Amino acid sequence: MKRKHNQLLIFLLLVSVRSIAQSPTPAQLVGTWIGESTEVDIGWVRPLPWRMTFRADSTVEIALMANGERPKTVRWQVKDRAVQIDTVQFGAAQWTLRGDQLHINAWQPQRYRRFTDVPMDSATVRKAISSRTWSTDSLIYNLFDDGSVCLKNERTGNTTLHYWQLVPVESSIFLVIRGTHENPVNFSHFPLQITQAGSNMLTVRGWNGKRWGEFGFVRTGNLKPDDHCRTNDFQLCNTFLPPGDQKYPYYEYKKGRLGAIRRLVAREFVPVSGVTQAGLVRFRFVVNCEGKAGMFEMQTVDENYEPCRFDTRLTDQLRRIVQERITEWEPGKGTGNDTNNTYDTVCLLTFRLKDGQVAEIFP
Amino acid sequence: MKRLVLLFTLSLFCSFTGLAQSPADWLLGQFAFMPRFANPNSYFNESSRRAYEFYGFEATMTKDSVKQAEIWATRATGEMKFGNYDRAFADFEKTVMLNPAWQGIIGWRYLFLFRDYPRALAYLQAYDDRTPNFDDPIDDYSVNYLKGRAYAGMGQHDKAVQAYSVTIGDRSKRLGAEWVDYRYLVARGVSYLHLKKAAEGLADFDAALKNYPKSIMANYHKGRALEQLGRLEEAKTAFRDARFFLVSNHSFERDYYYEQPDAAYEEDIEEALARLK
Repeated sequence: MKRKHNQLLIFLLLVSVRSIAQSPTPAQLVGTWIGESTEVDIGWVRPLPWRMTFRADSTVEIALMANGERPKTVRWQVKDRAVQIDTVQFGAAQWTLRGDQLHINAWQPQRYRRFTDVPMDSATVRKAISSRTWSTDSLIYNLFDDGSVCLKNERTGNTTLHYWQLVPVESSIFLVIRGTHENPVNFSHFPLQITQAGSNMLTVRGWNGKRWGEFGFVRTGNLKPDDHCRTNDFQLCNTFLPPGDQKYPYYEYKKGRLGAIRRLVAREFVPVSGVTQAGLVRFRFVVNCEGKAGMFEMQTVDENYEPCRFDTRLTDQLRRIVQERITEWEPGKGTGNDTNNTYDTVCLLTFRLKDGQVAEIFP
Repeated sequence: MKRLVLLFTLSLFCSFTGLAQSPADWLLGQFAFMPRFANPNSYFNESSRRAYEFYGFEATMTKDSVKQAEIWATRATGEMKFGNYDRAFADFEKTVMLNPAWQGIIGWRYLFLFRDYPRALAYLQAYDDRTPNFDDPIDDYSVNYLKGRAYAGMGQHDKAVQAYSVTIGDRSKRLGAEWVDYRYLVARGVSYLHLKKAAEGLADFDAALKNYPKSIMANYHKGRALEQLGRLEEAKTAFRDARFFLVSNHSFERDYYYEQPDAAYEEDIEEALARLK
């Protein structure tokens, strides 16, 4: 009964989505659309740092939101409610308009926002924002004059290094932050259109990680010429790759592999007498492309694989060993013709515990 | 097919990272990709949350228990690879309940990926009992080899030897000694070493090396057998061979997503050589 109810609910939902969804007409598409986000997994939204400019002469210019990137111009048309870009045809309702939002509906939906020009002077904006510390409700931005930017997440305490630039679109200016400590050009953050730039307040339009809208940066300090970004030890090389798409743990352990880890645990883990709990303690973490580990998570299940809590004298020891003592990881490499490149890799290390002792260690 | 599609996705991702073509071409590639793979079943990474939701939904869409079992097993594998053991276990159990033909595969999952030897053995035994006197294949293993591994994991090496012997004997008889998987011979040899039967172990390691001379673990355990037999110079040679192949031929016996059973590690080999100096 419940299943039928769910099926009916899903059916109604699909029908209602189809009826609300509206394929765009050519006139509605003409203009510039700024990429907003793409939902690569449930609860995991990645920036879409692109703009598409549809022109009435049936050409569309597609460009990455970054200086120095050459746009590409291809043809487009809307025919029988289907949208065709270059050689790719999208069915009716696969492209839908909702107000000033353009949705491309697919397994990983893309959202674009109609661009509204807000003329700004690039040199003035640069002068106003460079060598300053700016704060939002969740992030602190240190915008250095050399083009680097240090982002500090106040909630997690994580500090990461990136690069910033001002990208013109028509008469507007976008603040684009991209790159990582390891790669200065890829992995753009959500582009932010600057709508006001004062000496103490900056107003931007875009996605702030939670919602799209207009929000403010408050100047909270000045940076000295010899200041530089002091990051945490760990930073992902690919900022926006969701865990499910990170390289799967066909990874390489540190030199000595599991054998070395077992020896280390045998030396450092002190069995706890009187504890009769049994089950698995699983650590999941990411070894970044440089071989540094971070983003540790722990899951504990009992012998029947039900989530449980182990005596902290056991888990604290294991956590310390995994996070602090096993440090010489080798970054995951590509396969086939790609073995020279290294990638962020999700790793697992699991301990089977029995009677207060480590009975097994496995990946 | 899923793997191919995933590779295709990854290749698009690689181009996004600047490894090929222009950024605009990348977006066009994405566009080309979107309508073609609108069917989610052929698209996602098994570990994604979307995949988890989708499989759950898909399983409610069929009344065919065989099909349902397949869906739960697929979802369980994705969850297990991502370390969500509670979810993986629940789905594996549903799979077996709906279609007992999965007992064998799930037995090996519990064996190698959960190190849950009693549970693995129970499933492997149940699977084996379905076709008595036949050494059923399970993926690229045989059921008796896997049962042997479960016994060995529980420290019952005499029973492990019995189980390994069934599969080794069967393959030798049907296909010839040269077609026996060298890993089976190494496994039995290691159990012999636990039982202090070094001579029997040595015979197995020699047979294993005939079938795969570059094996690191066969050479290493051969060294251990020779050491137990007091043939120290030969043991040294075997350990040196293990070290040589560890450096030059480490592709096969490295850890993949599960550990190669009986694997020999750098420090084990160095320690053995230091002992025999």
